[in-house]
Amino acid sequence: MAEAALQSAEPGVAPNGPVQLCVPPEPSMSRVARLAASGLASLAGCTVDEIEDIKIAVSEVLIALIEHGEGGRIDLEFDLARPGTVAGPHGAAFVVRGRSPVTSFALDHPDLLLCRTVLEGVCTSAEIGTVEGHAQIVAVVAMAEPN
Amino acid sequence: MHERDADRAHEDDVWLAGALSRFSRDRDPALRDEIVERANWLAVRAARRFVDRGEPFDDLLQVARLGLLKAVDRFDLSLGVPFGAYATPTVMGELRRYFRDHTWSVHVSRRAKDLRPMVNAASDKLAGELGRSPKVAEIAAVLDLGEDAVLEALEANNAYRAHVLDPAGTGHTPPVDGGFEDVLDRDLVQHLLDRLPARERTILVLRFFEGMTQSQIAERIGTSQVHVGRLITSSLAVLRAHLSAASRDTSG
Repeated sequence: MAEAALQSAEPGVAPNGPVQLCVPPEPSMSRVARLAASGLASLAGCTVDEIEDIKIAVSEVLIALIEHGEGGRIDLEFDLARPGTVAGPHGAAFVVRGRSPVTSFALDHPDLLLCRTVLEGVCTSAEIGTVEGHAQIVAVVAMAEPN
Repeated sequence: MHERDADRAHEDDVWLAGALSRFSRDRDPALRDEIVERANWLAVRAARRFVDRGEPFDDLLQVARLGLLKAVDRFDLSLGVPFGAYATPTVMGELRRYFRDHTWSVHVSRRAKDLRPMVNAASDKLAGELGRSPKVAEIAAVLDLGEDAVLEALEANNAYRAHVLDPAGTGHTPPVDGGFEDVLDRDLVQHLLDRLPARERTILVLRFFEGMTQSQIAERIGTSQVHVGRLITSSLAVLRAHLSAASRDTSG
């Protein structure tokens, strides 16, 4: 499942490519990120339910990276996964990927465990880990019906 | 006070005196729930006094019941006053704090504030008509708005509700089966969920463990999708705050 999340998060799978944001590690950025994500989701024809799930995922990703990152800027990427690459009625999905530079990332910290639990509740798949000196969280929210 | 209310209050005070005496001794959560149910009329009456301020009655009642819980926890029999006389100011205080704190947590445009009720109403109406969650474009079409305006109004729901829930402990939580245990320590989960009112606990369980959508939950519990969304957001904020506090306590 986590593999599917990473596979679907490959850049460029959406017709117009991913939307990328680089934000300071501030909680106030959550609203900025959520609005950007919901705008893309709306363009993709997501329902209000799906958009609310996507916004929850964006908030969780951002807050986890703020609280457990090391103060560096956070790269967020929103993308639409190609139909057929992830599970779901139509195989289309909205992918949220967050990255922040870290030297260590305590995956067993209760905050991150809660983050994972929430993400697994609203997402088709979720992965929290480290990649090349960065904490990385990838969350895939299935879309019931592609635009 | 209305005569009938006075009679009822008196009857409840008699029952409550015994129950509160037992609760002060045993601190039994089940008894506390029973006391709150029995004294719910106090919460209803207090919530009604604020009903003309534009807030849904369900929300007000939730806040009032929280105040009621606090009153039960803090009531001291040695004060020599009836529970109703003690609880009413506590419940009213909780409601006043709700309005005091019920401010926009981030800057939200006037347009979003104005459109929020209309967008929420249209979203709920469309959900009923379509039998599914509506798309933003559908809401925009009904209201003759741009999609950006609809998105901004939907986002305003989260800003509007950022501080609704008091992270103070509330009720007893029945054991939760399923997903959480795979990831989180059972005691920790129990501890976290204990901090939420029963309805919020139910919503989180339905959403995160039973995989229901916000619209499905709204139908199940008889409220709107928008309201469910707001409660999820605020409940997660409460859980996170408690988790952070617990982490600080552990590390400190």
